[in-house]
Amino acid sequence: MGDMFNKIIAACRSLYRAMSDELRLVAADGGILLIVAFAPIIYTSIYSMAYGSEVVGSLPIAIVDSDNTPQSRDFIRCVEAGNAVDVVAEPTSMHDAQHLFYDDAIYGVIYIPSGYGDRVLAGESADVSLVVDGSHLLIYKHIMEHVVAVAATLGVELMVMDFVAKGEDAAGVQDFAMPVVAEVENVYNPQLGYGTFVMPSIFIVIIQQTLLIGVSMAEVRRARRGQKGLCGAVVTVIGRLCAYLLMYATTSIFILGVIWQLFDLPFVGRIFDVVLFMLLYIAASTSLALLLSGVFRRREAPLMLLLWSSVPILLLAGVSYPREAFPEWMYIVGRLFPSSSAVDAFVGINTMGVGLECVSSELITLLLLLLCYTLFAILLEWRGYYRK
Amino acid sequence: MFYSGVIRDLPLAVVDSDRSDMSRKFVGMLAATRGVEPDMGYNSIQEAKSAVLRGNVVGLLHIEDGFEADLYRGERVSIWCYLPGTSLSVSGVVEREVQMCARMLSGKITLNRLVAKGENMDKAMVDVNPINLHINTISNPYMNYGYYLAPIFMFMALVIFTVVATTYALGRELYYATAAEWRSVVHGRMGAAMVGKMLPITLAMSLAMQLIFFVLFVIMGMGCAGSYLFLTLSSVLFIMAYQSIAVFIVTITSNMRLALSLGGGYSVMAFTFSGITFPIVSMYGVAGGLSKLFPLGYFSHIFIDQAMRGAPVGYSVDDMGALLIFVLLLVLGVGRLDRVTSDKKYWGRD
Repeated sequence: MGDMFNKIIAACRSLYRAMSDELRLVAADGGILLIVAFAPIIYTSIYSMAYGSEVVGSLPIAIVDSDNTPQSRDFIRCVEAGNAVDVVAEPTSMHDAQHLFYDDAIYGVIYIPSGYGDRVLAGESADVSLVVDGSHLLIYKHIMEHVVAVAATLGVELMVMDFVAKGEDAAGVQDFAMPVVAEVENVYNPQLGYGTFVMPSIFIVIIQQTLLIGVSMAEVRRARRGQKGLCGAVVTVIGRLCAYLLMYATTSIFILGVIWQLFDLPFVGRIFDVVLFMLLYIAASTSLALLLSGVFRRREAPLMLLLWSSVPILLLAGVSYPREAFPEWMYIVGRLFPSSSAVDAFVGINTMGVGLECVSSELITLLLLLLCYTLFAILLEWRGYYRK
Repeated sequence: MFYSGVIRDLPLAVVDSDRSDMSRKFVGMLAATRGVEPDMGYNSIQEAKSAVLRGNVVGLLHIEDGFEADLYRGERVSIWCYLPGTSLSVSGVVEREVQMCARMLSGKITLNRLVAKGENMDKAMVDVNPINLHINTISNPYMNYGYYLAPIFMFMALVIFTVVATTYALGRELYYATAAEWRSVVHGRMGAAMVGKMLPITLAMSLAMQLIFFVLFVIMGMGCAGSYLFLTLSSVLFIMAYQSIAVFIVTITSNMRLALSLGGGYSVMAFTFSGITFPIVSMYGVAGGLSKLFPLGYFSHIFIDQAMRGAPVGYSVDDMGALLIFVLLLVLGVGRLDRVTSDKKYWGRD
């Protein structure tokens, strides 16, 4: 019994030694420290700052009014109401408007043809054109939705006038003209803010990517080789894993506790759930990093070979482009990276405040990845693959 | 990944508590849209809500009991759609389709009512839709997501490779203390040595850029609306701009690994500040100003103007000028570059 106890104590000691060795190694190397300790904080701060305004706001457009009647002025008045767009110019021709467009002074043009007012007064259908830039999705959506709403509102106003002219009761015309209304609510991001949408995913991807690069750099640097034998390999790998878990837990507390609050990013998750998830995710990312780190022989290699992968990894997590829209096999390949499941789980837990049971499949995937990658990392360590 | 280019058939849980002809008509319209696929397999809002939280469906649409009856009574009825709002592209597509279906159903109902009141069909059609809004989308007429996202992701990868390759090519001469040997090949002439070092990377990356253009314009069918020649020239300047930034960073730090970390960090940042995903005009002042420090922003501007909008070349000259300024950055550091490549004290730093 006492023997057993001593063995456990000894194992804990060597585990602690492996962990503190790794921490010392990282602390002594400015390059690695920059990547694992400061990069996540610097990146999240800068990105949060860029997306800080959250919504698109007022966008400049032009109106070409070839009609110039009270009716067309009325249309312009409705477009200008609210702060969705800002009518910055009223050029006399579409040709002039095109110049403004190429100059990036405007993102859309409304064209009211001559005869608009006459047609409206005559109770005929009147045409209005909107030319809008489709090269930027958010800008396009913002302008188009506003002008569509203006046309619909004016349509109802015209119907009211028509009713009044006929001497009918105009009280219920609003309901008469638009009997079915769709009330769409974006529950966890009511303003459809860009930062609220993208920052959780960026945070998750940054953790994994800096770990991949940092751990690999440290691996090349590792002077003291791990202890011999299978037990030694287990202790070395787990010890190193614990070291990064400790570092990244601290960084995450700072990011979620300070930066998140500073930029008013969503945090509605239960603390216990968030902590549990973060520990699992950091461990899974570290295990992948430990596994991959054996590939590199030069210290500069990890950064050169891994940095670009942030681009496809962000895509595979289904952030910019929904996962429903890309091929199934790509989705499956993406799941091999802890970040993909973690983005879904973190958005669920932290932005939407769902319980762990709702993201159980993501958590199980992360756990499986952690076990597999750690197991392989231990095997490689044991077989001396990392000993150069 | 962007092969289809459009987001289609997003699963939306539909709870139809009315189960009337009218509610079924609405669901039918929704099923006919490109972006949304109604999923009727939920008996209660609770059930559907839990599917949303688990991520099995992208949102929940509820048609309340009494939908049809209220419509027949002439009342206004609402259809409720709840989305998490955690994906802008998904929310955008679902909201657009649901709103469009609501407007279409409204139009049909109003038309029928007007005809029932004795109006003739043609007049009723005008009354329902008195202002005929024609929407002409230029630059990306079919709102293809691939055309919008694929270029920036590919440029991003190219930027990272260019910065990393250039930093390594120059930095290793210092790191492995081979700078003297390198310069001796061209008898110590700095200019010749730099051209020899930079040119292969410029060429390789320009070739890669041509491959990107081929994928975008031919394979993805995007086409180039403006001047391909101007775009190609700009792309070479764009690559040189990033090369000169990389050289600048190596010169200042005279430390390959630090330069790799800084250059890498800088190149990754360009994505955000290119303004493709979130518009620069909407960023706060400081962040908007920062965007001026990244060549990718100027180049994507030229790309949009030339490839997508077909703007006259004159409108892109200022952006090209900005790229040129980055290239001239090289001149600024030439004195120090000469020093760090000839003085042994700058070598082998780690």
